[in-house]
Parts: sequence; C-alpha cells; structure tokens
Amino acid sequence: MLGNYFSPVVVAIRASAGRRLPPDVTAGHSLVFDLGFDSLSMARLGLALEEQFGRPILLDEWLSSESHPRNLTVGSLCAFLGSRLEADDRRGA
Amino acid sequence: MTDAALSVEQRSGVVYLTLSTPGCPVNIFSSQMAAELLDVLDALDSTARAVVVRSGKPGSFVNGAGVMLASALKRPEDVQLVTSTIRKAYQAFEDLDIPTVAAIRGNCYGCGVEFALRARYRVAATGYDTHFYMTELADYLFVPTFGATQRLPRLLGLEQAVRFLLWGEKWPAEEALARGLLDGLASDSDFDRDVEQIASDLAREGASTTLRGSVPVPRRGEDIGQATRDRIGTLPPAYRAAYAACYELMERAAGAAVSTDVDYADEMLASGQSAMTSVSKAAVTYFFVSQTSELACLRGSEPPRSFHVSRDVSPSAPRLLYDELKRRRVGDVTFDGDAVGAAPSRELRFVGWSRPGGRSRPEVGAVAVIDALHVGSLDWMTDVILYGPFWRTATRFFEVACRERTLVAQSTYRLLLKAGVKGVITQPGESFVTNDLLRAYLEPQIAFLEAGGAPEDLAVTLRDFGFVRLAGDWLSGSDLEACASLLGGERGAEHGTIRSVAALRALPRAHDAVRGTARDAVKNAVLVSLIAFAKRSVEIRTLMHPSLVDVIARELIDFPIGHASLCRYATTVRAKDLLAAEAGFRALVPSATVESVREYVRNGREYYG
Repeated sequence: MLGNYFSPVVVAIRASAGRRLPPDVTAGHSLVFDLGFDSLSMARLGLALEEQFGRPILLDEWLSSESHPRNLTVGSLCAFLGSRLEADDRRGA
Repeated sequence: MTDAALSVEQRSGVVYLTLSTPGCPVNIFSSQMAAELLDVLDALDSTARAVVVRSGKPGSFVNGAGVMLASALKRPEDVQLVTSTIRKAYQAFEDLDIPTVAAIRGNCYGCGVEFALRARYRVAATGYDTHFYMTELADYLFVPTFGATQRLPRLLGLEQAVRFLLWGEKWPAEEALARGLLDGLASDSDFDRDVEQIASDLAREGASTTLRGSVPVPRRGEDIGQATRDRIGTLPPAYRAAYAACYELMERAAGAAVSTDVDYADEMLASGQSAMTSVSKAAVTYFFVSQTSELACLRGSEPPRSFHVSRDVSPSAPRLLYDELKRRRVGDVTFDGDAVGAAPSRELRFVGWSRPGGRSRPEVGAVAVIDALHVGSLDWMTDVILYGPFWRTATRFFEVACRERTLVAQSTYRLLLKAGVKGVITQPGESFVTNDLLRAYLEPQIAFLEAGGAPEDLAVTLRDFGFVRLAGDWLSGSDLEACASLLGGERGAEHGTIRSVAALRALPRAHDAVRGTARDAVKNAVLVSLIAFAKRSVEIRTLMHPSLVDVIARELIDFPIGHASLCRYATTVRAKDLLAAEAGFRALVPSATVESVREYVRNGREYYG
C-alpha cells in the first residue's frame, strides 16, 4: 500500500510544508515533529493531496487516529489514505 | 528542523522576542515555539532589564495552538502531557523578575490571549487587524487549558469575562482596552516605535509611566450566575456540559483572591474532558473544513500587495459595506482617495488590488453589493456580486458570486477575509446559492408549520440537533415578502401553494425551545433537504468544493459545529438511514429532493476521503 501512495504523498507534503524539508523524506518522518506541520499546513496538505488523488480529503480523522503526534508519520498517512480511498472506490464501484 | 520559530534581539537592555512560525501565514504557539522560548528565557542574563514579545507575522500575534493539541488527545488525562512544554514556557515567561510586555499587533486568539495574560503589560495596535477572541468554547466546544478560566474573571470581572470567554465576543483593541484586557494602545502606523519607547522606559525605570498597568476590575456584586445558567440551558444538550464546567471554574475564580494548583488542575481536567466529547472532536474538524474552503477559494492567486476600494455615492448597500471596511481600518487597504476608475453604474463599487512587485497602478474590478433578499434572475452588470441578504440584520456573511473564478472575485474575497467578514466564492446558476440554501432549509420547516406542527416543537427539534440560532432569529428584520416569494419555488409549484408571510413569522427563535417535543419527521426532512442541496451544489459546481457547502451552511443557517459540517455529516450511511424513515417526512419535502438523495446513496461516494 505504501508503494502506491508514497510518491504522491511526498509531492503533496513538499507542496504544503511552506518550509525547507530534508532532501529525503521517509516513511518514518513524523509530520509534526520532524517536518514541522501545524494545523494550517495540515489543511494545506489536505488540498495538496486532493490535487494528487482527485478527490477532497480532510485529515482530521487521521490526526486523531494515532496515539501520539510522533506517530503521525508519512507512512501512517499513506496507510490511512490507502484504506480510505480504496474503501471509497469499492463503495462507488 | 532548521527553521526557528523565535528570533531574539537585545538593544539597550531590552530583549525583543519575535514570534514567527516557519512556513505559516500566522503564528501558532506550537511545542517547538514553546521549547525555543524556554531556551531563550533560560539564557537571559543580568543585562536583560525588560522583555518584549511581538509578532513577525502581519495580521497575527498568535492565532492558536489548540487544534493540533485537541486532535492528539486520546484520554482526558493526556492534556497534561500534550500541553506540558507550552505550559512550562508560559510559566517561565510569567516568572521572569523583569518587566514583560506583550506587544500585540495582529489577531490574538485563544491560547495567544492566555499567553498575553502572562505578561506584566499588554499593549495592542489599533485597527481591525488586531482583535481578541477566545476560540476554545465558541469554535471548538472545549474549556481553555492555559489559565483563562482563572485569570480572565479576576482581570476583567466575571461579567466581562463571561462575555469574552463563554459567549465568544470578538473585541477590537479599543474595546479590549475599555474592558480591561489591555494596558495601552499604540497606533498601528507607529507601533514598533511606540513599543520601543515603552520598553526602554521599562528597562530604565522598572515601571511604565504611560501604561496604566493591569488593575483588576473591581467586582460590583455581580450576580450573573442565574442568567448565565439560563442561557447555557438554551444551548443544544450536547454543548451544555462544557459551558457549565467553564462557567463554574470562572465563578470560583472570580470569588477567590488567587487561584491554587487545584484550580488549574481542575481547569486542565475540564479541558481534557470537554475536548474528548464527540461534539468537540467534530468542531475541531470544522477548523479544517473552513481552512480548506479558504484555500480552495484562493487557489491559484497570490496575495496582493495592497487593496484599493472606491465607491459610488448612491445606494445604501455599498455605502454600508464601504463604511464598515473603512471603520475597521484594515491594514494595506486604501479608500476613495485612490479611486481607480469611473463607475459604469451608480450601483457599483470597485475593488482594486496591486500585485506583489507589480505595477503601481492597481488593477480594477467592478463589484456590486446586494444586502437584501434578491428574488428573480441575476443581472451580471459587474464582475462580482457580493450577496449578503442578512448582512445588516444578522449574519456577517457574503456570497462572493461570479460567473467564473477570476482574480476580481479572489481579491474581493481576500479583502473580506482581511476585514474579518466570512464568505465563499460561488458561481451561481439561475439564482444565488444563498437562496438555494434558504429554500432547502426553510421549505420543510414551513411545510411542517403549515401542516399544523407546533413552532415550539420545531424549535426543540432543531435545538436538540445542535442548531444554536434558529431561522426566526436571523430572519427577524428581513423582508419577509421577498422571502415568501423566494420559497414559492419547487414545492410551491408541486403543491400549488404560495408561502405566506404568516408562516415565515411563525418560524421559531432559539428562546422558543423551552418547552416542546422533538419531532423526528421534521428533523429528517430538513436534513434530507440539506443533503440534496449539498449534492446539487457540488454536482453543478455552483460551489466548487464540498468545504464551500460546509462554510455557507455553517455561516448562513448555523449548521451545528457539533456535527462538524454538512458534508461531513452527510455520509451515505446517514443518508440511507434518513431515507429509511421516508414515510414520516414524505409530506414535508418534494419527491424530487428524496430522489436526489436516493441517487447520492446509490452513487456511494463520500464528500471527503
């Protein structure tokens, strides 16, 4: 699942961070602790993900799904998106 | 991370700390900023004789921190862990034994107010760019966590504190000074110079000769307990516990000379408990929805360097909005003297804007203002029509209507945002989207009343669902004849009826929700009708994004934040459940509306991934 989503997610992260990011963003990077995302950049990220995946995305449920902000990693985001978008596709099929 | 959130400069014994959240248009008091503040305060030496905290972000002192913190909570007790660094930083700032100044220029919201309360002096810039607002209860339905319930009642008196914290009044700097929140004002244009003067006085003398200092407002035997509890009783049931807990903490603080560790611990627990409720979690979601709506409206446009507004002389609608914008003294906006063209009609107003680094002569667009209900077809004499039928009477909201999303529309929208006026950009078809929403919301209610339903039952039904203001509240003072014509539409044709003004007058207000019985039929009818409105608006792209549906529903009809937003609420599963109860509400909504929702369920796609 990570493989399908990782590249577009990183593109969206870079487009919405509004600050310099490490040259190699990895699945283990925490968006809050390592990449400096706050609530506003999270909202920007939702819209940037929409541009990548072609449908509106809100990240509130992902934010409250992890037990600690440190766990809000790039990999966790990919997994969340994978489960949501694929479930939505199945319903709409 | 390499970007710092705090920069430090020391001159003539004064340490200037400038808050600047990296990569963000506003300041967020994050754990990173708190950690940097702790480091800086720890490193201060005896050469520091005063500390000034100010903002490096235009228009924002501190806009918040709570959203991410609230999202991170899994149990009420987590609030202590999640907020610990910020709490330590606030305390370290308060504990400094040299004079401290919060130099507030730009919006100061929520935990930004709580931070400013830790300074010995608070000085703010005049102008609408700087105003004060406690977001916690009003926007997110949780109790503040950084001491506001304790400090505000003693500083302002219980009555003012209740208005500010419990009822979410938004105060411009002048009002904040008059109500005791501030110690002084400085003009926006000379703000830095004035603050430096104050700071150098403080560094030299140890006290200010120009600031009045925070003098607790004398308590005048305030007896607002019953009135406050009564008002809390009119709120939707799911909201009451947080408001009651907050008020109890405030009342206790107002009656005590100092707050103890137990008081602060109680505040923290109440904060954690309220933030864990489903309505608070949903309200936090609305933050993301409203931010997404702004970003979607502004997508592809750069912020202008400045705005220029000129007006024609005649009709009252443009003049009122013009005067309002001018009165707010929003930064980077100039008026009249910078008129940028000849009006094609006396009805029009212009918004001009200068691109960053662009030519000095502003670009111009023509904007009409309509601030009363408009029935009939749209007349596109201008690039943009600002449609706010309740602007003068109830709701500070404008539909920024345009045929296509151009820079004129985006600049107009930006200008409204800057002035604190809510709006969404729409591309209406035959009628304004506002009118479509009014029909969707009001038709089932009117049908219920016309069928003999009791207004108080309608009031209790909507209040229990989460509506704080009801249609009777915001329709009051509007042109009901025009509204009746507006509602003659689809159902009117189908049923051969014309809505009467009398039926509109019977629409209940919030205070009517005292007795009565909730009726599922009318609740379901209203929700089905709203879901059909959302589907239609997104499908035909009168609203280009679901978040715009959510904002117009929130701002215009007060769709409850306790359900996050209309599109978040309108899952296909919920829509299916509503349809299962169709027999109960069939008489209250047109069959085409029900069919539209059925199609939405069949399609199976949610509005948000």
